[in-house]
Amino acid sequence: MSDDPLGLLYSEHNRWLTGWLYRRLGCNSQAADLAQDTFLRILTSQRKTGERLTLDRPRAYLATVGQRLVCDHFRRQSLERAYLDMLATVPEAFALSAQEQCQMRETLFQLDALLDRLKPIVRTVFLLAQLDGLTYVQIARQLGIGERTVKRHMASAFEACILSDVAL
Amino acid sequence: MPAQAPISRDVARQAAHWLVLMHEQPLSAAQQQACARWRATNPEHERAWQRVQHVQHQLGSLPSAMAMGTLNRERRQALKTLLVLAAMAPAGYFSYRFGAGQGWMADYRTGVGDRQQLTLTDGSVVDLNTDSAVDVRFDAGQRLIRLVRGELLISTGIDPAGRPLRVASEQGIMEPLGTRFSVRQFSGITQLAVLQGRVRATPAQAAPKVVEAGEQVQFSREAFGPLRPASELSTRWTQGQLVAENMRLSDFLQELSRYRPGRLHGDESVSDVRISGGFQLDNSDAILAALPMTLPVKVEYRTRYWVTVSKA
Repeated sequence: MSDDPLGLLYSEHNRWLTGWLYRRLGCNSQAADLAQDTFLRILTSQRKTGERLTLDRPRAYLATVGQRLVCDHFRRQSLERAYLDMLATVPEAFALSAQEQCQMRETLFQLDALLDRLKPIVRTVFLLAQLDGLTYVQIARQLGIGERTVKRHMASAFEACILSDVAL
Repeated sequence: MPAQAPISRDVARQAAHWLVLMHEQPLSAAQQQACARWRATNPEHERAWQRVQHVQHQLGSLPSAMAMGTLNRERRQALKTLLVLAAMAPAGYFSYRFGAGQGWMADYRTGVGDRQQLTLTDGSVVDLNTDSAVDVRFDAGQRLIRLVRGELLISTGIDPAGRPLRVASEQGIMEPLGTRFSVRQFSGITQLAVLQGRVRATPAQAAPKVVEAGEQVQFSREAFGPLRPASELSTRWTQGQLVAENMRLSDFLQELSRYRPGRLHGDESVSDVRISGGFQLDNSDAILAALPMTLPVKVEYRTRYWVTVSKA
């Protein structure tokens, strides 16, 4: 047995993982990139927890981590598209320097990952309150739901912000 | 440094309860006290609280139309399918976690509106400004303070072992030669102001430069900006003050917004208004309330977290 389980995992399954990712992404270089990222994530998470890698089903594990990265990848892509669309229509964004825009995009990606776990209605309620500064009554009226429901959604959005493991 | 334990569901629920109340209407004095008590009862409560403050701060820093248009977009069906697939994986595998967030796991952190003074083992005194985070690593070779975000002011102590003290930002490393100086992390830029002594600053990808007392400079990873005079006034935050000298109101509001959660901004109608004076940061609401008395502006509160200043 090698005493470097991750190295072993890499040499035995990298090719398989790249193929598995290719079938989801349809692009060779992206698949190769995400395969590297997958191993990197596993390495960092191990370093952090100090746990040793012991796997009965290594491919299932790799697929789980890889799947998460594929989701992140698609979510980032769809956010990027929405961002570029908005940039074309929001005049105040043009006053920002390239650096500020870059920062803004990073902040958007982080928040997007955070909000991604919320149900769409919860997310909408939360953003109307936080971004547009609407009161609960106004949100209830705008969405055609009860005020109590608005409060319940707000509470679950706050809870999700607190419990989320997304880095901020 | 031990990693911080995850926040429990119960604590998150309690925090959410207070936050929902607070957003509905201003808390009564009794409620405010109860909420402050709850926060102070347990560091975990305060962490939960600060996490939301940080999210609100982030949201507040974005143009609202942009944030709404992107964050609230229709998420594509394909994505949902993928997420369902991911959810079918064995539950145990989800214990895998993302990397440490900027500052979230740092050794010392301040929340929005908070300040903290640290005395390190070598006698160095570090003041942390609002929404800031540092990691401190003293080992055999050096005394390293890493500014993860925000701003610090340091008066350096003398190390009996003679190890060099270094302050690292995203853009580079600053090494004082017995001194007092402040470092502020902007996005992509570090600002160094030297108040006493001298500091050698080394950007990640450029040659070092020695900055003398009374000088201030900004640098990226690649280059230095022009030298400017550094003023003691810029360190008044350590006493909880913001000092403005003929400052553009929009810049002033931007500075002030560092110290309070949510969105605070001046609209275009106040772009030529200027402000001077010393302000107590501990009560930014009072500062805002006083603005219309001295300047031709009005302050509109849509919520506690949503404030717009415009021409009266």
